[in-house]
Amino acid sequence: MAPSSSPLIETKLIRSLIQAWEALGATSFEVQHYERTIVHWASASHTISTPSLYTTIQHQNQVLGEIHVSGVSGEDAQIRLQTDAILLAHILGQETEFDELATEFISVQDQLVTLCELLRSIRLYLSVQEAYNALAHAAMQFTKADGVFITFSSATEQADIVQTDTMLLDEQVIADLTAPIYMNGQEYLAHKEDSSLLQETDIDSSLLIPVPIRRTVIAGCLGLINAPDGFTTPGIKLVRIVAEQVGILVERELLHQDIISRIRMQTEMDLARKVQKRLLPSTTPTLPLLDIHARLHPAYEVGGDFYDFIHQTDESFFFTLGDIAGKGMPAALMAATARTVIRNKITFVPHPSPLMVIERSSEDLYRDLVEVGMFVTMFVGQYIPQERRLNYTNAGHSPVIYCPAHGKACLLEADGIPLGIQQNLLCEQQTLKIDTGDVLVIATDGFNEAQDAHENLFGYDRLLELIETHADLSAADMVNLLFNEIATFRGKQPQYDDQTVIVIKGV
Amino acid sequence: MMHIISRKIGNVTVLRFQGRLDAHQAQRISQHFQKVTTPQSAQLVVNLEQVHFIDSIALAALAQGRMRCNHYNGDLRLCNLQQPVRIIFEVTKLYKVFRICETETEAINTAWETTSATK
Repeated sequence: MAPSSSPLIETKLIRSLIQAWEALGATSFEVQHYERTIVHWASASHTISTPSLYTTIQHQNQVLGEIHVSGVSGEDAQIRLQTDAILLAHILGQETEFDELATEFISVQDQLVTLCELLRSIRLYLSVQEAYNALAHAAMQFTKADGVFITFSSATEQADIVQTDTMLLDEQVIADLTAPIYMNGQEYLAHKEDSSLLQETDIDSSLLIPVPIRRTVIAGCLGLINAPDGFTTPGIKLVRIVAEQVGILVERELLHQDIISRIRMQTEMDLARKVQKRLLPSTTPTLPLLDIHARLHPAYEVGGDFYDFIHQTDESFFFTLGDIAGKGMPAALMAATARTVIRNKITFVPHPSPLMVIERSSEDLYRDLVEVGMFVTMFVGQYIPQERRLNYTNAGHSPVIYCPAHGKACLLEADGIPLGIQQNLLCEQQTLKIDTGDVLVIATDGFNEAQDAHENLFGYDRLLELIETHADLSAADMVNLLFNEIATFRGKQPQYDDQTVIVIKGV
Repeated sequence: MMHIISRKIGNVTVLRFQGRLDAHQAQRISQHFQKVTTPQSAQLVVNLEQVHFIDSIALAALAQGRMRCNHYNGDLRLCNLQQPVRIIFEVTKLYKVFRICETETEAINTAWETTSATK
């Protein structure tokens, strides 16, 4: 490479060389570097003529230039000229190395500026895909490679492969190349001559760099294909920075997705809770000879609990409690549907009975329940105040606990199976007397399945004992007691399922 | 965390569940049933020996799996129920629709006529 100017040449050394030649009688002295005259001296008496002495300047077997001298000749002068040529070769050689270093320095500086601009602009990209493409391009520029790709670990759920269209590779080839990187997380530089894998492709060399997340997880692999000048250390270092940047983007995307799904879940659960709340009766009914109280406490992941009270014109009183086996909005919507269907049966069917209400509701709900893969357990009771009698039908619902005044609490098993399993519910209707002091507690499985820190279930026995011991409490106090006891038992454990209870007491 | 060990004995697919069968596992259970139940292979035995807790959402997944088997003229049978799980099947009366066997051998070897109740 020819320098634009040769500052080293214009030194004392050159001046002393010229003086020495002048002393020997030379009339001109000229140095050409790559056919360009970089030193020219001529005495006043010099006339244009062919140089009397001539030699080449050679450095590492390469001809860098020539020295011409006029006015002197002879073997001694020629030897002296050759000595000067060796000296100049040394100086010009150094100058060339210096120029190459300076050029490399400028090139690295350019790369760093590009990298800085790239890192600064990453956040401006509209989509993560655009950012991946920009990073892939930058990696290619830094290494002067022919092609580039980025693959992602399936766990990151990112785009399959990012590739530039300069050198598209078969996905199977990429999968084969990157497999070891995912296995051991090490960088890999391969050349055709020592890689059997590359010998089957048109790839001469490949550089594979793992894409790390926080230096611990391998989120992907950045691959560069065919660098005609070879993969240099500065280029590899820059590509590592690019790979780290890809890792940061992947991590940011994962966090973003996580936050979005949490917000979505939170919003769904809030909505489901609102739907659930709207379904509940706003007041507690007042009935002769019956003390009744109910409460529903939703879990964070809202379940499908619901209850309802319906007064009949013939003074009988219906109440229902249901539990959809499901979570979130689907369960809340199914609960809303079930409640409406049951309410319609009780209100519009002439002389409804609990068995009839459940069987007809099942006819309406069966297909929908099967479709969404849910079932619903249901308790429907009809209180007839004149007879202090409760008719009820229980389709797979639990726990239902009856505690006669001064007697032992017992679990009333369901008569039939939940709705949504098969069309024939195998249900029957039962009758229960509710005399003064008799207690009936209808709860949902959120009570007996509540867990403490050691995964012990609250279970049926604790419920039975609790109700029997406190059977003298009012319905409202019994509801409070049950919720307090369950909260104490659970401690800091989350509430996994809705907890709903209706307490009925003869007064 | 729940594990499912699946193996095939003749035409019967035996699934051994280990761990808690709850709302968080229900989707996995349903997906597994979908994977192993085909028109050609709809005879499933679910061994619950290693299961000590099952909630209503997991029960719904079992019921759905059974329905799928019935649809292909097969059945989903349960065996080796532990006491806490047995109680759930009793209080919900679901023992009336599921065929529940004492042992895996009994569940596999009892004649596989279709349970027609749901059809």
